[in-house]
Amino acid sequence: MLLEKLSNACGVSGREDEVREALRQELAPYVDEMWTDPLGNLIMRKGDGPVKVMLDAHMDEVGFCVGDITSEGYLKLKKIGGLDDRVLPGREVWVTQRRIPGVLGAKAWHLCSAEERRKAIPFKEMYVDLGCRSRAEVEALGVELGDPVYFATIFEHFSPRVVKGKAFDDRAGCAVLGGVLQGEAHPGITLYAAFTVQEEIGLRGARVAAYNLNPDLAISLEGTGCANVPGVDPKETITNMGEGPVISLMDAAGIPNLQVFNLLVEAAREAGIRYQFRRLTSGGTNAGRIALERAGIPACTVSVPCRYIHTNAALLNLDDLEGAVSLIHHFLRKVEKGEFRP
Amino acid sequence: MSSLLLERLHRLAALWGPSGREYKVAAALEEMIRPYVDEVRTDAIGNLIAVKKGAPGGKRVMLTAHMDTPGALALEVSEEGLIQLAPVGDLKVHHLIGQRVVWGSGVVGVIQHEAVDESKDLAFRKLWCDIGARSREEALANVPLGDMCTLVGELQQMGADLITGPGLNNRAGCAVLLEVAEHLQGALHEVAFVFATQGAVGPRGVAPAAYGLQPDAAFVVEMTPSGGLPGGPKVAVRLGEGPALKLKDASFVAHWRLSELVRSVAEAEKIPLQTEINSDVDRTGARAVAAAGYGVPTAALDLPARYLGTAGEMVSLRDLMGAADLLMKLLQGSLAF
Amino acid sequence: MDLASHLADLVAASSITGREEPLAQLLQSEWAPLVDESTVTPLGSYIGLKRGEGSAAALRSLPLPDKPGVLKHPHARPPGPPRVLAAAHIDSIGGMVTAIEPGGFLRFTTVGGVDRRLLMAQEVEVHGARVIPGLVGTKPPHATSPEDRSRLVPVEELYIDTGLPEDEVRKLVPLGAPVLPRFRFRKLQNGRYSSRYMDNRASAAALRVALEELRTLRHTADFYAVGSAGEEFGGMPGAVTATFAIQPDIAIAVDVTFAKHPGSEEDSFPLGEGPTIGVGPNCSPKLTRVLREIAEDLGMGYALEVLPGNSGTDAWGMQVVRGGVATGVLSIPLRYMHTPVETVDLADIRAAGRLLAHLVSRTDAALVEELSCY
Repeated sequence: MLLEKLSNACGVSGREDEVREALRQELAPYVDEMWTDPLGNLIMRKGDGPVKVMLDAHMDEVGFCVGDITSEGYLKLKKIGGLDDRVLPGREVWVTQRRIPGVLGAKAWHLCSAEERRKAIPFKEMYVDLGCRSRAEVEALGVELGDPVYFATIFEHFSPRVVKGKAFDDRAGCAVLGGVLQGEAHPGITLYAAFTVQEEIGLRGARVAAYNLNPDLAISLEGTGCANVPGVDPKETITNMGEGPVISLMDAAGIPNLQVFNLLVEAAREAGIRYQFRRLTSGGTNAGRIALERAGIPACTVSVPCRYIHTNAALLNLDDLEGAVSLIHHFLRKVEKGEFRP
Repeated sequence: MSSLLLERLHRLAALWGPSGREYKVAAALEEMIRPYVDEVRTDAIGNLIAVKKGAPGGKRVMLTAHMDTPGALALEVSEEGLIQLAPVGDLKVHHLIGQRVVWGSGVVGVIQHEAVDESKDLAFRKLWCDIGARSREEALANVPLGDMCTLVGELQQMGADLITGPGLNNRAGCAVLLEVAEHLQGALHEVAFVFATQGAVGPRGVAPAAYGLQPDAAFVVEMTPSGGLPGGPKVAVRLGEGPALKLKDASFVAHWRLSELVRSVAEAEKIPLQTEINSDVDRTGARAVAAAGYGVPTAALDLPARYLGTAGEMVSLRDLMGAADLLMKLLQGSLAF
Repeated sequence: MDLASHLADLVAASSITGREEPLAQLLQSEWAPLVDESTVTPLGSYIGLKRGEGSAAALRSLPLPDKPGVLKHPHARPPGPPRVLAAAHIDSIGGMVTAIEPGGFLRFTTVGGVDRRLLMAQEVEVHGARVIPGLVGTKPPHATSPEDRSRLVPVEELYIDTGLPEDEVRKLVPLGAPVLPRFRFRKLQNGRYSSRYMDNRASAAALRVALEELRTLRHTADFYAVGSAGEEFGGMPGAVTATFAIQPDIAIAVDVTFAKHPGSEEDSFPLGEGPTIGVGPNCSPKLTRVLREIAEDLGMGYALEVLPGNSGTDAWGMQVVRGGVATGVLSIPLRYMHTPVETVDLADIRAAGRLLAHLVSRTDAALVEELSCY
């Protein structure tokens, strides 16, 4: 399954190589051409119709890189992207794509003072233990400053439709985009699938891709927060897993183009696809940045609800993912019929 | 003073047009500016761009004011029919409590907050808007999710010079641009009047506009808090003492030589001009304009105001006229800097 | 070239963010013999072009704005030899006069990340109609309560005393006039120098070294030495717009980084042991590798500087201009950043300049091709 392959692949911001490779291999049969740009975005073109549509999904995940190697052979980390300190200690990690195993060590509970036990462990005090006894041993493994470090999470099914894996933000979006490419053709559209880099550190890859492609409209595909879980007020769940793909009302980076937004809602209604809105306006997505490129590009965001994003493991419902693919296809059909008027 | 200024202010401030939903304001502005310009167009992000052609040898100048106001977004509706809100722009919670608002659908509502004991417990997510609906279905039938509301109220004149009401930020800036468009005669330079989108959440719309125009110089007209009131902002700018030339704020440094030109023209034409070096103000569109494309020398001309972001914003008509006058004199000159 | 003396000239120039003109003009005159042509952009950045062998590049042929309406830009790279851009920001932090008070005292605000703990009693220069020396005035200790003495005075409560009468101050000092720490260039031991504004004049000096070195190297790539305006504050419009105009294949930000000194812990590097080369998302991995290879080939010491996100340099803005640019970060270790006594080692400046020159020499069409191949 594409999502499985992508979720297990390693790709923190700036080092998206494995994800790029997986996407290239899986999707080559379905597209007309592929290329990369100076930032490492992977762009695929399918079709050559009059309307240019850009669909973007970012390849990068939040994670870490090696900030320092201590003389005793431990790794000090730097965060890449936003991570909650409380979900880090005690996790297994992989260092580099070679997946050198390590653990994010934490002082044993027994050795902590009463006060320490009450507080979250500060990130500064965390380190990775590879089992090495010295810096030289670490270097002999070929580990260097700046090397990426990932959560060592393996994808699996919790049930036929609910899956667990790392980096669903935004491998879920990439899987949606892959699904769109693997599906029906849209002859009235030149479809650019932009698998972009460096979203997590500032919405960076998508904007240069948009500059180059200069599309008539763009949709960003994301994995978004979802909190229909115990202890959360129903009006603060952001989105609900199992209730369909999510259409953004507004986020920290942008206000969706009203026409694109309305067309998406219509497409969902006409096709009988259950959809929901994202009930949170903080957190930015690529669409907001794409909208400001060149002389302006109409854009909106569609997401798959994922519980526990930005941690070592998230959950999603495949129905939501497939619903997103279906929604995009119906939307593209409407665009082909001329219903988007710039 | 132009009698049309007051009329325009009344009309513009009354229009519903929060960030991302400026189309009604854009339509009105297009109608108002058309008689004075050669070309009007709208770009992909909704900016209204009206161009008055110049003569050979003239420069291309961009004059911009954002046309959106802050407001709130309908995020969800409770079973009782109360609309839950997310901020659009920087309206403060306590400025919204008890206020009347209007939605894009035309429906009027009132904003209230959960009962709390202390003001530190006030939070945007505890606000709701009551439109008088008795159920979730009834509310949604009148205000769809994703709709936005803004503060609503009539502008009132206070004495000969001051005017108060919601929506002056930044419709007053737009009115200044209209003044310039109407009265500008015999300018060498091509002037692009850009009524920009999403300035209250941005700057956003103004960036693609500047990119598309690549002007030789730009002037951004916005509002700035005025001081001199006990407990109010500790700034040097005062209401009624003329427009303020902003040299620096929390994220922008103005183009020095262009700003010096503004200063010297104001002095020569005896137009009162204040200097603003306000380190706390952020979000100015000027920053985004300056960085567009090859770079645009940009100056910021601000209109002093009290109580920004409330239902009782206050501006001085004299300050607005001064700003319009100064911009006209600049455009009628050589704009050498 | 007497590097120390050139560095002193650079540091002597006034160039706070938004007022970079004096330094841009200085570069135009001082670097003229080293470049084929130069210009200053609308936002005040200096650009000096040194053409590669056989190149016909010219600054005046940088794409000009189109007619009114939509601005058209080619998104393919322009024809011709590879273009390498190196940006050293020429603006510095400082202050700006905000008001003149009765008695002629000046109120001011800071521009950029000024270390406010060092403002009290600092000797400054106010750049008005002429350069006026002043002191940042303070209440004497006996008029200060014990609580106040451990508290940092906010900038709004500080003032500058020039000793001049009010009417003369009003004649000489416009609002917005730049305020700088007093110029003093101090030679320390071991090739180290201390002064205001080594951030980022040290990097400008490195560009000068690169230009000198390029006279002895063969290169087909065009080299654009950019003294970028507006880095310290306001979102790097200088570097971003210069990159937009030049459309380089490679853009290197030359800046300063933290050098080790007592109390510095992580993220600091030894002084005098070479520049740092950035590694992280803001640095193209291939470019990082090439820079390391060149340094190793030259037998040059360097350190890897891990930059997990925003590098805090012009590279952050330059990387995402137009359709994206392969960027790198080359930094010169510096002690006491953003104080009037910033300290650098000339050897590090020379090394950084040399590394840059060799990068330009090494850049060919094949390398450029490789930079977009992932």
